[in-house]
Amino acid sequence: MILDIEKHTFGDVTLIKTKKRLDAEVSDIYKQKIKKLIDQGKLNIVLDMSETEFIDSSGLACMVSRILEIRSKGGDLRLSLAGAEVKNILELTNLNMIFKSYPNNEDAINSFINNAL
Amino acid sequence: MKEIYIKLPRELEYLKIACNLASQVAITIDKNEHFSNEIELAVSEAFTNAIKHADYTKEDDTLTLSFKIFNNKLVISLRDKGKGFNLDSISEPNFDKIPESGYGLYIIKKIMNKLSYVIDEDGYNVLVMEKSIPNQN
Repeated sequence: MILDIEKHTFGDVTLIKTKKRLDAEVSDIYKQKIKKLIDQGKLNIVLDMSETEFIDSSGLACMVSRILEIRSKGGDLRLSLAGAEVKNILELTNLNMIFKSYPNNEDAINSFINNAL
Repeated sequence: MKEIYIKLPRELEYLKIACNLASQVAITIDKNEHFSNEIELAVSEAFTNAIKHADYTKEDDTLTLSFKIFNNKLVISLRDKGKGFNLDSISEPNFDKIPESGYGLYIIKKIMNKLSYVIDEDGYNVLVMEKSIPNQN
């Protein structure tokens, strides 16, 4: 499956926009994308979830897969614009305690800058 | 009782069809978005698990998803001819370690009111999920 993933860079923060569905069909593609960023030393990642209407455990896996590695290297993966269904599954799996979530992209990107100050 | 069922190839590209059907069936029962989202999520987890974790023989490489609508509950079954597994032996994810996988069955158990795994008279494995239907008043 070919999936065009929208990506933007703001200083040393990379913003990835997730699609309408985050499930087993696309999870591996996002995992590879995040892995590539880590390999490139881009450790400050924001997932813009404004368009994501559905996420299951496979979708969660693409967030979780490298979180420990990212954090051990001093970076983080944070969420922005998570809708009700995303928040619901994060709470269901206790992952809401793991991932910082922001109401908009600006706050999410700035959270990395504020941490660095 | 009303029954809707579909037989699909055991491939991820058919996951969306299974989910769409689940969502539409749920909407016919209750237009509440949260209810249909939960049903879709449970089916997505079950379908994905059946594809990823089962050990299939060439005898039957399909998954049969069925929905039985009773007055007070929705019963969803996913039937396959794989190797099967022991539902009771699947433990909860260790949340302290932030595991990458293992959340699927946990999510189904949190969403659905009942979950069971049986072998039917034809030797097929059947994951059965029950959800009470919200009060229609």
